[in-house]
Amino acid sequence: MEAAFQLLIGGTLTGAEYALAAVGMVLILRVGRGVNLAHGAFMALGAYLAYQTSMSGRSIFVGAVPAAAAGLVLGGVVERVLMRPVRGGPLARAVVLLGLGILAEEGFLLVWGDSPHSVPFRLAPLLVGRMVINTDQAIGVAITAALLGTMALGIRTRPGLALRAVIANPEIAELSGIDVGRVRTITFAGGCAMGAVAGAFLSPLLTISPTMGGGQLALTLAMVLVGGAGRIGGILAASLGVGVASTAVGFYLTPAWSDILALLLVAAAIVSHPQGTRGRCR
Amino acid sequence: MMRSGAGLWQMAWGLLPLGIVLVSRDRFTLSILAVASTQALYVVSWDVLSGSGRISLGHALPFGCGAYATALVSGWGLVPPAPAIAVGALAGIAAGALQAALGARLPRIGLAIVTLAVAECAHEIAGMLQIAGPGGLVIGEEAGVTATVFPADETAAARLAAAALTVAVIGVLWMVRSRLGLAMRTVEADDRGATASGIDVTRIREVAFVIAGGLAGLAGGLAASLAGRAAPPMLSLEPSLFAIAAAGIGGRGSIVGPALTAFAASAALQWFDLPVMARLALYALVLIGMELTASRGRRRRDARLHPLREDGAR
Repeated sequence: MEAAFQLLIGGTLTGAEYALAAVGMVLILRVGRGVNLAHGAFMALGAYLAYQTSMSGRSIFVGAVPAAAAGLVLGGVVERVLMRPVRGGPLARAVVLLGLGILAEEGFLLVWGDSPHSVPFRLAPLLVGRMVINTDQAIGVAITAALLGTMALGIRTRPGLALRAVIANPEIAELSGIDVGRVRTITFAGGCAMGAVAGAFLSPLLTISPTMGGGQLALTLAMVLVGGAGRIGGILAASLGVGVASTAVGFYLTPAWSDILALLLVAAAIVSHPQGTRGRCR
Repeated sequence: MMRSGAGLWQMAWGLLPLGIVLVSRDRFTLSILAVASTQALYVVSWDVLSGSGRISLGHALPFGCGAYATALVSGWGLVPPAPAIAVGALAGIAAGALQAALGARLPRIGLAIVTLAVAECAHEIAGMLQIAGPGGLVIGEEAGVTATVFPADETAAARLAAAALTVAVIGVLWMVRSRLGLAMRTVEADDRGATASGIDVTRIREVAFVIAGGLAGLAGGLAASLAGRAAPPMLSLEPSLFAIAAAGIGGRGSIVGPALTAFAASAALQWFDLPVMARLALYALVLIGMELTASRGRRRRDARLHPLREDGAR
């Protein structure tokens, strides 16, 4: 029973950190009208940058800063250079992003090699009764909550209104004087940065290797599709649920089973709600 | 409907791999051509599916299922090696039917992700699969499942694979000209129009999945028999990406173009012995280049048809 409670706590914290990546993916799905199949690569980039900063004795939160910057810059470049010229619907964009994710794996291999890396937790764990709460993770969740809260407030500002207008109808938004292309670039860059920061926060829990992005992508996509691409509350709930489930499956079976669970959830969510992948407004 | 002259030319081009195999004498070259023929057969199977307007990112599933089924029944000695390849084709049909059941009604992007997810699931499971092999040995996991090597000598192996490719290409070209092929092309061009014409779009897509699955399973069975093993990489993303890249270069839906491209590309990749990561990077570059090139064409067409529309709004 104690182990189950411990898993529940650990899984909830992990799911809460994944929520940042999931919300980033939803932003790209709804504004950029494409499933970011390179999201796992951005998370891997964040994890690698956190690893790099941890080598000099700094915590993952310091590593999250270059991760965010790299996500913003690279995401913006990818949107301008690869996404904007692509015509042919969400599938064409998804295929380009899938290709980009594979190229990123090659890049990680060249820079950091193929041997796996790990990032240590820096802070001592908190003891609540007989339960152990990971302090690094708890701080990560607090920062995630602050970021998502700021984003929720930002949606109600004027730039947030432009974002919602682009989601609702890009052509009318364009006619109203909104620079749709710019909104898409900023959103894509922001979504990628959120993925990279989540990767940095999650880095102590992960085995960092060039191919790690696949598993991260599957989990994030599962959270987005199970939660429903149009409902932030649903995504947060799904992030926690999937986080707990994957942690439990990884603990009682093997970590590979948590990837399988995520992939099955992705398939089941799409088959049961086929329109979810189109990022329609609900 | 294509003119019969064009059809004859296509069939003539389809005979090219078999011709190359028949004139080759070097054992190393023949072993490369045998694998290239199975890869080309596999790409033909993907192209059949894309001919119905569906893009699968997980076509490795029927290929890998065919390979594993062949390896299991031949490795255990349940079935002689030649019929074991037919068992592989049946397993491919079953995998294709599963993909059809899951994805025939989905939008294109949904289908692409579902097929990718299911194939990756199978890949993960194959990496953990432990089976009691002949003699009580536990086989499976990353090492895969051993199959009976068939045919044993390189010349026969290359001829068998090239003959299977030729028969498949001719059979598919014949199918393209049949009522079924016409229905598939109509569905690919305009599924709403096809529905209005009385075509059962879902049924046509399901049939395409099953035919494509059968051909991919046959290719997988042949690959396992030639290599003497079915291994998890056969279910990985690499074969799926190879099919999309080869079909994209060869001309999607043209059958012969993708087959010849896959034959040549597979032979070249084996010849240069490129590692898997380099191959993946190459396929990724081809995919990105393909989509950007296609997009340029679509943008020109859009500019012609809708000259007043701005780029950003689309």
